[in-house]
Amino acid sequence: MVVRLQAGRRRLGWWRAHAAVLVAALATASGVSRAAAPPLAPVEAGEEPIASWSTPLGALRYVPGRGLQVGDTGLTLGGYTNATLRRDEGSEASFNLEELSLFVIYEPLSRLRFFSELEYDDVFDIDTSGDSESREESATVERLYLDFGLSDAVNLRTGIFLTPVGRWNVIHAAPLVWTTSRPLSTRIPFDPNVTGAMLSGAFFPENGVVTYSLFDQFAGPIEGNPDFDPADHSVGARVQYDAERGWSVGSSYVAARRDGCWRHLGGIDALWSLPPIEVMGEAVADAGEGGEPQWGFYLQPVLAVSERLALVFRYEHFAPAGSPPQVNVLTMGFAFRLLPTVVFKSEYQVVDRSTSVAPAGLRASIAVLL
Amino acid sequence: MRALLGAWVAATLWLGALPASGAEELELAVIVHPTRAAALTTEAVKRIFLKRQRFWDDGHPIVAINQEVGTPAREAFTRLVFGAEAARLPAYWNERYFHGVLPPIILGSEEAVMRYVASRPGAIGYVDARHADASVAVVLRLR
Repeated sequence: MVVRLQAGRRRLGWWRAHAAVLVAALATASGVSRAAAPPLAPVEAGEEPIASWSTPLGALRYVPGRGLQVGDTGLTLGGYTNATLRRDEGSEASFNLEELSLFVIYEPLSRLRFFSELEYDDVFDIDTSGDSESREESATVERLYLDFGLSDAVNLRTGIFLTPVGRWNVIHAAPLVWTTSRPLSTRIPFDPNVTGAMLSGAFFPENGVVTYSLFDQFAGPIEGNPDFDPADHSVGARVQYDAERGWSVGSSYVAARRDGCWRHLGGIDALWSLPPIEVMGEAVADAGEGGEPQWGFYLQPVLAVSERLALVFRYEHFAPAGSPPQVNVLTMGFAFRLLPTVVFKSEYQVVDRSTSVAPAGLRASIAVLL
Repeated sequence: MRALLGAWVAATLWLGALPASGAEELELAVIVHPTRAAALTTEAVKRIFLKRQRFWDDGHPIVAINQEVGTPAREAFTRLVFGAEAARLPAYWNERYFHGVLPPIILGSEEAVMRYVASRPGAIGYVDARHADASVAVVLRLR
């Protein structure tokens, strides 16, 4: 009896010991998932310098996507670049270093900011036969302005700046948009940038932010870009409301005079974001003297299927001025973010009437914020 | 004896699984220069650290100070102020960079943040609430 009891006590002890270890293992498994260092949050990527050098001006720090910061001088050099592979229906494929933009950002004082963007377009182009071509004099001053901030409600900008119409035009850089192609409504009806002055600011009602801008273009570009024929004079305004809950609406107006004729453009735009879905759209209409009216709109839903991959769909209808027919464009593709500041995009564009401004075909690109 | 050994092993494993830092329970104090006493809302702090609001009510430029990536205070601040919107911050700052606006400057320690905020009327930062002293004014507590 004593032997059996002792054996029983030993078995019970064995089970107690192993039960304790089992419970601890289960607790550990759940605890480790809490205590393990979380992966680097998306907000934190893009803030750490990957290279740093000591200089008499202070530390030179390069942060991918945030440029090269020169010590505490307030000077930052940066930019972006974009390479495109394109094959329109009925045409040969071509590879193009489409854009190389260089930024200079200088903030000597809290209220003062200088910004310039020098853009090299079509640096080189290679077709399937291996022939390459590069443009001479491909650099343009895309932006060059000085900002003086008096308060949140009053900021004065003078120089060359992006025309504040809609959303796409003011964020059109390849690393920032979902597709390689650009909606016609965002590039044909109005000048992409103006040379003049702009008053802008922000107000903060209880549940959002209201921003406004008023501009007057009274000069031409500083260099003669043969591809750009700006208005002789234009004035415009924009107001935008950004709600706290992920939606935003805006409205834009531009009056422009060319060859003595005034034209008036009005636009509305909206953005709604509820992860993993984002929907953006714009509509513009332009009418007046010296030509037929033109109008267009696009709607672009985007679905983020993972942290890096998004599916993109866009429908656009555009009615150009004059005799060219109206066109419907369907764009379907995806954007894959290789790194926070590097994005690969691919899309196919289907058009009911293929034109030089809206050709059907395949586009792919890789865009990098420097 | 075996039971005792097993219990000892279990306790060791459990203690090792405890979080290494108190980041999840950290209370933050959003601090400003002591001449500024007006309380701020979380939304206002968010606007400031997004650089959407650039000036104080008296017209003085705001200088927002972040702590280093990976520190408990930085992680807590991001979670408490931006919440689910934090996932969209890289895209937001990419767009702002395109317009020549960079994220808030980063200082390497809480002591540096305290000294900076205490000496500059336009500065705003955040520290572990236990470390905020009379050299700064606390305008918001986050937990």
